[in-house]
Amino acid sequence: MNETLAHPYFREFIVPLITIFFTIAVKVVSRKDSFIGITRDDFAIGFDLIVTSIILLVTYYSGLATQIHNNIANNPELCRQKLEMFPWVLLFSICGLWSLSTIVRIYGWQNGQSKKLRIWPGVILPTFTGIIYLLIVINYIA
Amino acid sequence: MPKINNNSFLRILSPLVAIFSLVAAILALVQKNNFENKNTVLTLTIGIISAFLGLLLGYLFLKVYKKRPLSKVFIAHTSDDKEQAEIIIRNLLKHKIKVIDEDEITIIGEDVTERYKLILKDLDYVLLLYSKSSISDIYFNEIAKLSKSKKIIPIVMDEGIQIPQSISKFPSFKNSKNGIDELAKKLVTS
Repeated sequence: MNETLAHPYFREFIVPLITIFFTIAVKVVSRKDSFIGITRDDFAIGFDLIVTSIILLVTYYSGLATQIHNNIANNPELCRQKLEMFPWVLLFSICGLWSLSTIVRIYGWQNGQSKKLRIWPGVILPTFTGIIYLLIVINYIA
Repeated sequence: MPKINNNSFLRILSPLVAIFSLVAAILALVQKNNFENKNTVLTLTIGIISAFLGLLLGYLFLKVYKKRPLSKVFIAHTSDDKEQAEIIIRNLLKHKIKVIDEDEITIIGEDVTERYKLILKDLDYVLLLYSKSSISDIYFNEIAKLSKSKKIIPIVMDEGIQIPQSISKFPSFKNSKNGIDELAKKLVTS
C-alpha cells in the first residue's frame, strides 16, 4: 500500500483522475431526480476543482508553519521562503476564482430564457482552468 | 461625464483580472517549487491525460447512472391541484419519465403561455389535470388549446367532471394509484 501511495504516478496520474471523476459523480448523484439525462452542468466542475486546490494549499501552508513553529522542518529556509509567498498565492487564487466566476456569470450562459451553459465560456474554460490549477497545486505540495 | 454601466465594466475587467490573477498564482507556485529538477512538461502532460480520463470516466458514469428519459411530459394544473400534481410527478419519475411542471416555467410578471410555446416542441405528451378548479380556469384552457399539436392525456381529478368535447376524444386516466401506474406503463411502452 505504501509503495503504491509513494509512487510518483499515483500523485501525477491517479489523484487528478480520482478527483475529477468523484467531483462529477458526486454532483450527479446529489442532483434532483427530476433532472434526468446528461447536461452541460455536469461537466462544469472547474470551480469545485479550484476551491479544492485552494483548500489543499491552505492546509499545506498551515503544515509548513507548524513545522517551523515546532522546529521540526527539514529545510527551514525553504519553508520560510514558501511561506512568504502564501498571502500572494492565496490573494491571486481567490481573485482569479472570483473573476472566473464573474466571466461565467456574464459570458457563460445562453441568452434569453434558456438556463443552459454555453460550451466554451461556461463549461470548457472554467473546467480546463480548474484542471491546470489542480495539477500545479498537487505538484507544488508534493 | 458618460455613465459607466456596471455590467460593461465587469465585462472588461473580469477576464483581465482572471488572467492576471491565475497566471500570477501559477507563476508563484511554479517559481518556488523544484519544477526545474523535474520534467515539468511531462508531469503536466500526464496530469492532463489523467484529467481527461477522469472526465471520460465521469461521462461513462453519467451514461450508466442517468439514463435518457423515456418520454418528456408537461403537466398542466391549477394551484389548487398542486399537491395532487406533485404525487403524479413523483410516480412518473420512478418510471424514468421526465416531467416538466408548470411551476418550472412560471416567472412572475411574464406570460406563461409564451414560455410554454417555447418548450412545446420538445414535449412528447401533455398531461392536463381536469378538476373542479381547472375546468373553468382561463389560463389552463389556453394551455389545453395550445397543446392540440401534441399527444394530450387528460386526467380526471374529481368525480363527475365533464371534460371539454375537443379533449374528450383522447383516452383519459383517473387520478388514482392504479390509474397513474397504468398511464406510466403506457408512456414507457409507447
